[in-house]
Amino acid sequence: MNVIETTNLTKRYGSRVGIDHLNLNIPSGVIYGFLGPNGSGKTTAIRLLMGLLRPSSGSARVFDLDCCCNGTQIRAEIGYLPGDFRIYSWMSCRGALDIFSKLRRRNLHAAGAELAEYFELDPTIPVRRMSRGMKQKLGLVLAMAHQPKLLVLDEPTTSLDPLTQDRLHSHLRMLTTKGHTVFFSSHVLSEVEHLCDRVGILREGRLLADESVETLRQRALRTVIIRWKPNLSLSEMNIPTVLQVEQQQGVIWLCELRGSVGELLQWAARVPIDDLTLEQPNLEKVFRRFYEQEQNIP
Amino acid sequence: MNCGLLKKSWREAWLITFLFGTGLLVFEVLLAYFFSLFRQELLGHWVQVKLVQDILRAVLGAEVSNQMGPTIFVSLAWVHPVVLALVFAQAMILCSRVPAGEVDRGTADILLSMPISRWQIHFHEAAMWIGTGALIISMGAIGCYWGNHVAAENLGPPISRVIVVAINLLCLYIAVGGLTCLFSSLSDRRGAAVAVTFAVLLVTLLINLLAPVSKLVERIWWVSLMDYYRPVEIFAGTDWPERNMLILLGVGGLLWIAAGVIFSRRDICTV
Repeated sequence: MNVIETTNLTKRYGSRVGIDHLNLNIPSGVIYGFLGPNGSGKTTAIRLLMGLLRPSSGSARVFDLDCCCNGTQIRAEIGYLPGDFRIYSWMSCRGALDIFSKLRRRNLHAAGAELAEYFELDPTIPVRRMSRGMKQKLGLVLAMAHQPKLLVLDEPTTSLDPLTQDRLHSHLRMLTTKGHTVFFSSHVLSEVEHLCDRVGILREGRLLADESVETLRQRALRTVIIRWKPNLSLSEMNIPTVLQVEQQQGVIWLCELRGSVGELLQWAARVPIDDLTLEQPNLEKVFRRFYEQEQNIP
Repeated sequence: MNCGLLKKSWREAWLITFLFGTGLLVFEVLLAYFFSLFRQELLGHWVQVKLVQDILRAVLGAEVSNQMGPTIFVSLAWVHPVVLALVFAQAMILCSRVPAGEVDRGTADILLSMPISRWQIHFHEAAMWIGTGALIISMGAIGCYWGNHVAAENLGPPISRVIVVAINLLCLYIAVGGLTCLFSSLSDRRGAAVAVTFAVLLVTLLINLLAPVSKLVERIWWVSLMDYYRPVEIFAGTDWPERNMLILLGVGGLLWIAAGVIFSRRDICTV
């Protein structure tokens, strides 16, 4: 069963399109990265799933329940961290856990205290005296304290220090091993690449790709850095079709590999090269390619 | 009932309730004391002046020439601008908290991500603003009774009449609360919701002020909420103003339901 399922989900704000015919199928037990630049519709999609927005057309289902009609049931099993997390200034972590326990009708004190300790958050400090990072940690504690089946995190690492980011990543990985699902929006490509099993790339409300990180990586063009031997007439060099030269800086050339590594190595063995570096494919290249392709469409 | 929702609402409402309730109690006592000091002078001279009678008629919203006595002073204490300002402010502040206030300060996302329906939130909020409204009006009633029977040497109205006026004021408070809820449900900005409610109340008060002295305005007196709140008639008579109370409750209830329907269906956007 898919944990999240959207069918032609569309949200319009007057003439502006927030989300355009979004079709998502996210199975349980995965970390799903939702990638896109600012204004691409990530937050709109999340707010539709949370029932904060009503779709203009199409449907969104979570745990096989309609997000509009069964919001209360769905939200009992969702932990949500909004992109711009703000909470009552008079609350402390302990006070928030007390009120959230009553709101959710579950005792969250023990799990919440454990999470606060894990994220090194003082449970007694009121929100008005917290830094941005501390507030974000509080948001994470409150989103995860009830051990939800689905965690919806809208850019959760914003204002977190690298150490806490690492802790969050390992905690999320641990959750997925227990069968929990994480829906994770971000515009930090490296983070998504390292953390997520599957990635959806969004642009102007449309889903451009929805694949595993590995598949996307395989589709990435790899950069080849060639350092030629000095004192050569480089203009006479015969470049094979598997390589496309992107930049020339003296004897150093930056190329894109558009064929197999074998072909490249066969060619490299025959030419006067001092050094050759073949970079790892990464998501950033795929991401940029998607956007460049889209922008080139007239 | 969800204790978490009530606890959260009470945490945000207790201070204002305490301040306004205490303010109302103290003001009613002081007013009773002030009127007791100048009772003879006021009754003997000022209330006989035609202009003062006209002003009293406008403020109290009823013909007062045949009721010139201590009743006038007690009634004035229940329509005094300070009293109405405190009661209306309580209604506007508490009723604009959800959803406009929550959206405005960015906490709506967290509140609405809980496993509670929007109607449940609307219901709990109503329980809180009606409960705290009843509390501050009760404190005003205690102040009125205590002030008139202690400071003014037992010259005040019986407690039963004070209670009827207090209940009528509570009905008015519910109508104002319902109105604020409606504007709050339509808005993402608390300030805007309060401003529009305030403007409507100002018109209401203005109609009530002008209706006794203007035939033209008198024709639309019925649209003013204040037309259904007449302390002077309650203190002068022995009946319950059931019709007025039912109208105010009906208006408040309908506006509250409309607000709930809008809130339950609207988009909650970030601001």
